[in-house]
Amino acid sequence: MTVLEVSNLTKYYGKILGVKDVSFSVEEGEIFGFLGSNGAGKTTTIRLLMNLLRSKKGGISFFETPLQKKPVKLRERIGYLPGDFDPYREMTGINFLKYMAKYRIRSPILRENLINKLKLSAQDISQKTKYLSHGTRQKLGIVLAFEHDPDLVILDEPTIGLDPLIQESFYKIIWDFQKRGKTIFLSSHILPEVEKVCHRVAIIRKGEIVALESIENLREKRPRRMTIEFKKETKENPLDFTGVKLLNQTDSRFEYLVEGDIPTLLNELRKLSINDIIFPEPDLEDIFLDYYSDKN
Amino acid sequence: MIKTQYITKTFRDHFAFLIFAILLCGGFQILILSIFSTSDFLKLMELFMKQMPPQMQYFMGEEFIGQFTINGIAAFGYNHPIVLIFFSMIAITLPARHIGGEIENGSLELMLSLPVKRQAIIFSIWIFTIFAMLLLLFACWLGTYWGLHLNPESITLPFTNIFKIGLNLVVLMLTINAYTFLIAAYSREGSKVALRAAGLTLFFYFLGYATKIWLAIQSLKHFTIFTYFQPQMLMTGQASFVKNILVLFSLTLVLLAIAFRRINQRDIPG
Repeated sequence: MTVLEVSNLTKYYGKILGVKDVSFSVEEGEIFGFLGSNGAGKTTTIRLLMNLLRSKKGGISFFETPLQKKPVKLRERIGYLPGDFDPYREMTGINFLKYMAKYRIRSPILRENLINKLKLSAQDISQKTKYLSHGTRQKLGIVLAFEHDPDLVILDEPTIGLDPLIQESFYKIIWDFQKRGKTIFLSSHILPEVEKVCHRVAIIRKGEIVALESIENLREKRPRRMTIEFKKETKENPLDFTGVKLLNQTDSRFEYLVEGDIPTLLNELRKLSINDIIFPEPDLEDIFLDYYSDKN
Repeated sequence: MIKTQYITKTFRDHFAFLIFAILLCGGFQILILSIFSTSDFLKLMELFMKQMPPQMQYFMGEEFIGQFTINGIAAFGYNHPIVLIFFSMIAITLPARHIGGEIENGSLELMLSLPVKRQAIIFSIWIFTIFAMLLLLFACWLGTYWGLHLNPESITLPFTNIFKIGLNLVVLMLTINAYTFLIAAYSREGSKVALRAAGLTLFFYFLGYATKIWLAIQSLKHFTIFTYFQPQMLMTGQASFVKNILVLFSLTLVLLAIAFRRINQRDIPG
């Protein structure tokens, strides 16, 4: 079943473009990543999905039902974590969760389990939320999104403020959830995170979807930036072969974009006299660079 | 349509302020009535007026002296700036904080991601506003009653008129509340909503006052909501309670209809 279908979604804030012709679909049991840098249109799209922003063009359907037909009933089946989650500051954590649960028909059957998995202590949840750290508040937000066992969870940058250990616990929660046939829509600007947890990904840039790929395809296609410092200063590019593009050069330092086969690259590198090599994880901008060069 | 959970939470949020306002407004009625009912202030004020220059006597007028009858004082208790400020604070604070403020801090976004209709939240705020104002009004009525009965000599007051004055005050405040809703519907910051609504209320208040003392702009009196709330005149039967209520209530309904429609259609946050 198609859990979420978005077609030609367009939103302008006055004359400023929010998103344009955004289309994608998310299937049941899928972890779908929504990748884009800050200001790309991720939060705008999510707020449109949650019916918080109104669009004049495009359609949204959840569980094969148009959002505008039954917005309230559909939200009963959805869990949501906003990007800038900020609970009522005068309430304690537990009272906040209890208060929000009163608005749902589904009872918060997963609350205790989630509190344990996210290592929220009794002290954390009994304090007023204004005294909690950003990370602890974010954990509360995750509990709120999942506690009623929704069929679809929409998460806007969920790992911001979480330490690496809790991030791992969070990924486990997502995987367990997906194993039970539930669906997750997760936005992020961190490529390795999306690669790690998602099955498919839509990449948004300047309000438009530039790619819709499975993670396997993305991994194959993804370009990586590589900086090499050669022992001798040279004006000619010592690494001139298919799949490696020269981006910048200063003295003996050369910056490349690597798209080709890694073993072939290593063989070529062996032949050269190298002082240092930097080969970091690919970032979003490299991917955009790749997609844009393809487009152009 | 009404979310009782939301109303309960709002009541808890404003509980301390409400108690303070109830004690202050109710206590104020007791205080002024007990003072005036135990002293002959009318005679005192007549003597005081006679000491004033003739121009000043004309400026202050008979209406001012009329206030110092027990009926006038009872009516004045509902028109005193302290009482008006506390009622206005309720009328302005609730939409400013729960619409403008909650859009600003993201709480409304969170609330509307739950299976709740926007109208239900807005309507709940409005219902709570009425409830809070009625609480304050009961405190005032109780204060008037006790203030009179502190005097060992029995003094009678036209309580029907006090009842009408109180209701007129609440409807006036609902109008202020309605244009605050409208301002909130077009804003995204609670403090700005409160400032604009308070500014507009002050403008109406001073315009109402100016039209009374400045004959040249008397025709502008129809453009201030305070024209439709004159407690002293209601007490003496010189103003029409029905007309006041009709004008203010119609205005309230129109403003609320526009505000509710706009909030329902707007982006949150936006």
